[in-house]
Amino acid sequence: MPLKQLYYTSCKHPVTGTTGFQVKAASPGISQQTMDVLNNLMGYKIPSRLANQPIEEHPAALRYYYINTQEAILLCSQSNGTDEFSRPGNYFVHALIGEPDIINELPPVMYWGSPLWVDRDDSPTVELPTLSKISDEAKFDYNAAWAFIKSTERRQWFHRLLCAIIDGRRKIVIVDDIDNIAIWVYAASLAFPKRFQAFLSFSTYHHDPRTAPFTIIGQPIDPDYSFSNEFFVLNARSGDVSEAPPSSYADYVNRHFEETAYEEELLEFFTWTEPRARRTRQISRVLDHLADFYLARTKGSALRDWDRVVTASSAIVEDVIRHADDLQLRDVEDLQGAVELLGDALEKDTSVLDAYRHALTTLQRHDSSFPDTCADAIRRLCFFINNDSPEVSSQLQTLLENLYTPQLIEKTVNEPGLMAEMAAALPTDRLEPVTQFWQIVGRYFNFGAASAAGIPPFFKASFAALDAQSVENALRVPPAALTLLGVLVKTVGEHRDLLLRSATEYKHDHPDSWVFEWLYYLLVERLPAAQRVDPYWKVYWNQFPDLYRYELRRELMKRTDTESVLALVATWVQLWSDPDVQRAITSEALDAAWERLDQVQIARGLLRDLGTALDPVWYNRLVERLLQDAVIESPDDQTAALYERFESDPELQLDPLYRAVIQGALILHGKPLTEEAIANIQQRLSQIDTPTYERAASRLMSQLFLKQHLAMIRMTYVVHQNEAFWGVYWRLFHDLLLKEQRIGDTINVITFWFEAPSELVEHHPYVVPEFFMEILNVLREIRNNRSYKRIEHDFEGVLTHQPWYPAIQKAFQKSRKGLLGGFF
Amino acid sequence: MPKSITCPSCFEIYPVDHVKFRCTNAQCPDFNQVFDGPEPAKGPLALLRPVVTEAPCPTCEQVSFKRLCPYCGFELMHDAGITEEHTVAVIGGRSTGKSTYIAALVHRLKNEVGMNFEAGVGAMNDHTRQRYRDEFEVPLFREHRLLAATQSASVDPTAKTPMIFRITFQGRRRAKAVNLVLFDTAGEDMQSLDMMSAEARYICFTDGLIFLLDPLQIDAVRQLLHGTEIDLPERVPGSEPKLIVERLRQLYERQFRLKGTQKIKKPVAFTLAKIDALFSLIDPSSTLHRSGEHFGYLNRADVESVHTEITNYLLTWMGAEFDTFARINFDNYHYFGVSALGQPPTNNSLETVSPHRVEDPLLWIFYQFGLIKDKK
Repeated sequence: MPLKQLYYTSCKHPVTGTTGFQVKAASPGISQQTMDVLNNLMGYKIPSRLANQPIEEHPAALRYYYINTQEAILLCSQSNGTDEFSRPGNYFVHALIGEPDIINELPPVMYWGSPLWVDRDDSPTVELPTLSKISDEAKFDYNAAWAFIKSTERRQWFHRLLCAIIDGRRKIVIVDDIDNIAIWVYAASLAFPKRFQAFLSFSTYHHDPRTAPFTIIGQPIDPDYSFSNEFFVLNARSGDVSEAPPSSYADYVNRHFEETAYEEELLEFFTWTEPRARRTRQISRVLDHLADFYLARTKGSALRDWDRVVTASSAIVEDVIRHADDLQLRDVEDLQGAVELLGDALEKDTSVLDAYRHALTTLQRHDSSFPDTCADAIRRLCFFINNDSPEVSSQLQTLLENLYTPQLIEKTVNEPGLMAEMAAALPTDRLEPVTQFWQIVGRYFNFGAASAAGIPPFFKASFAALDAQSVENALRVPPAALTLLGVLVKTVGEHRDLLLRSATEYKHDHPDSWVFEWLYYLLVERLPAAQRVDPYWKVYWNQFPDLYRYELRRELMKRTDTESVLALVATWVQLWSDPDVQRAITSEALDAAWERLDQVQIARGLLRDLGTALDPVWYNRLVERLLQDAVIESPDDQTAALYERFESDPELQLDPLYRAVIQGALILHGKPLTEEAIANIQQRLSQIDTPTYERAASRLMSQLFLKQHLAMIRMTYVVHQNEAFWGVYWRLFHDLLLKEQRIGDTINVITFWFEAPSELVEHHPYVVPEFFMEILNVLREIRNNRSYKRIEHDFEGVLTHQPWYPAIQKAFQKSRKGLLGGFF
Repeated sequence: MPKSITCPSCFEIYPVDHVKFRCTNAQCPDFNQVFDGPEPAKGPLALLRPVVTEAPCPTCEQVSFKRLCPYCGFELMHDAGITEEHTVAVIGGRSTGKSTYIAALVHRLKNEVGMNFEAGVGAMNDHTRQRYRDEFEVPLFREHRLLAATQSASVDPTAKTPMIFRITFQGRRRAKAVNLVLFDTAGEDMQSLDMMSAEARYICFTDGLIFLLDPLQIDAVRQLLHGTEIDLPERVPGSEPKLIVERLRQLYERQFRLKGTQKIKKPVAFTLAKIDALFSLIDPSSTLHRSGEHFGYLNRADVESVHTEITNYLLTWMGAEFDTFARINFDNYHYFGVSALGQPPTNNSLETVSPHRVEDPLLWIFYQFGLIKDKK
């Protein structure tokens, strides 16, 4: 579309004769809408301070305005004297209207000072020709900007100017010489890609910045009023320059705004920017976002401002969403980049999660190669797992599983390269992340495939993390460790051998570690002992000789009652034929549980059932413990047999006092007396308290009273227990005569005392006298017993024939009872 | 006290508490954002502060005093809704001297008239102060040069932005403040009904009109002055007073759907401008040669005398057509004669500027508003 021209001034119209400000001449085809825009752009008033100066000193106003993709306007308003009423203030506007591409072939401000601008037309012409292009060459110096901006002050001001242009919320007023204003505008134009230059409206001069519809408005005359903060003011004369919100685009461009860097750096950036901003119709923060995105993508991450990167990347995502029906490959690549940057930012700040999720979800919709991003998504997930962010990890897991198929996740997770990365990154000092890793990622491992070769490093790292736990007692596995072990076992499923093999290797490398034991026991603990033998005991007890101890102790920890401990030990022992193993088991069990069990019960149980599976030390100890509190009593058959075994065991080194218990019991069980037994029992009875003595002595004396009276007395008589002895003795004597009515035996007992052997006197010099001191009283007492009547005749009949009868006769003399009996 | 505001830009009328605010903190992320003000006070507090004049920006919380019209976003005066306000537009054909008249009128109000009425006059905002100074006062009274033509509002939005002056009458008992909202109009905008409708619609919403008539565009007058020392300006087609007043009537009918028989009720001062150029045609004993002599009141006798004289002159120069049209269509109008410069310019320059009777129309309008009293 050709350029249209228009002249506007105050005149008498050559055709209509109307006077005043009006369109004097124009090319055909300028619409009313365009005319309405033009009206807003053309107004001109001479700066009041120059009103009395010659026209040449009145500033020209070169103005550029972008209407839409079809039209832009470039015009020059110039003062040109008086109107037809001789009033001052007339001006002439020469406007060009055409496509922005044509108007912006060069930055429009380059037509500043061009002779193409008409400032007077007295001809009768009312129709102007259209133009195919702006015919006159621009007179502007192409290199004017570099030297102009070079000074430190101007460079700082230029930076703020760019910030203000990007900010876009305030009109920009530049107070400077009119030619400088043009250079400011030119420099600002150069700071933007060509496409954006078209959006940068300006007027080198406008009498009323308040109503001027331009982005940049020049003020060549110092205004004698101050601008409100609704304006950004660059006053190059006073050096007062408004603050402007920061802009990363402005930062970047200003940093490279010199001739060489412009060519080498900025033009490349502009080339990158142009197509990405193809839908933008104004200079805006979009450029900030693009600059941030460009720098983040091309300049590495060292100096990234992550907030800006997030904003920029999110803007890219939103742009893709807005223009989903018009996407190009470049857009998708940018979206991929945005996802990557947001992922990086997420690792710095978890509040970016929503933005990352949004970006990834968007990418899924628009990128046919989206599955390729699975590995990166998994890496992000691992990052948060490894850095103790369970909540984020959980959300990323959900995201991962929503966006990618399980098959793809599995395939990706099992790729050797990614596996190596993940294994290397897995922490070895904390359990929670490792546990979460196995729960979220590990479950995708293909343990049965060739890729399983990459799995052991994960086990190793996990074991190291377990090992890093502070453990006071290896038997008590920390709950977190137990959780991880449980997760590991569950994750490997049927491939436990792989896990155990790794654990075995780890144990070999770290002999002090308990991890293998923990894992091993977790695997075996639910198995009955019989099922452990082949797959576990025979394999691992050989490799780790102390493993049985750990396993056994863990088992024992679960058992609180002696019976179940005995049963456990018995079970285990019975599964091994090797006595050494058996002894090792029993010894370990006793070492572990001895203190907390019923020792007598376990001693009896073990000695009875597993005597051969006990090592000598424990055997002795058990026997002693069994006898320690035992009393001399009549044993059952089992105990008697046990005692018999003890007695017959030449290896058994027993204290005589304990042996006295065995011997006493066996005597009560019917075993013949031995001198050793008499001596041992006598010694034991002399060392126990009276009640215990009474019980033991009573049993022995009852057993031996008739059969071996002498041995009985030698065995049971203890001087300091003589009262108790005689108490038992007389009771037995009493019962013998009265209850059992064994008159002959009674006569024999009495005879025994009258014929007391010398050895009795030798061993117990007081026992015989003590008998005779009491026998008369005992007999009298018997005689007075009501039961005595039944045997009186027989007993006394035999008694009186005994040689020693006179010695006891007094006990049988009838006392005179009755009224006078007491006197005789 | 007004409980509503009439926007001087779009002329919508709305309750005072409907105004919006704009953030003026350049550091605020939402700088320039428009937001609602707080709820107005209720109960006894409403008596103390009946108008909300400030509000914190919801983003930066900095208090803003910039109140905006909720309809067009026009920035309201700081006392809009608080101070009584009257709007007057100065209209007329091209080159009738409207801007010059306004320059002289404000100058008179600030000086002699203000003194006579014990009234202080000051610009209400920077825009008014700057515009009056740069475009009216300095060129005319200090540099003694003709004012530049007022540009069409279509080209220069300034034309649609009124100048606002605060006139404070001292009074005997208590002071009274009134805002005078003055619209200057470009002659180009009066040249067709469409232009008036598009660019000078405010005419319909003003409280009073000062309608300047350029006697030098009246054929009879031009013939009478032909050959005298008066430089007759070029004829301005389409700017004849009769045409403009007819367009004014049409504009009202269009805007307010007036019936043909309904009269326009607002006070209209039909003012013959540049009467200094007519002095040679006017009877030497005419009241128009003297000043109005409004010493703290409207000199009704003088006003009536001027009205009668002008009526007669118009009848003589223009026939009955104009006056008849005015009588039929305007309920409250008066004729006045003024000279903004006091004498015609010589070679487009002014030796002195001596405004003559320029205050008469405005004082008559003030009297119609009840702002001043009269005396016969």
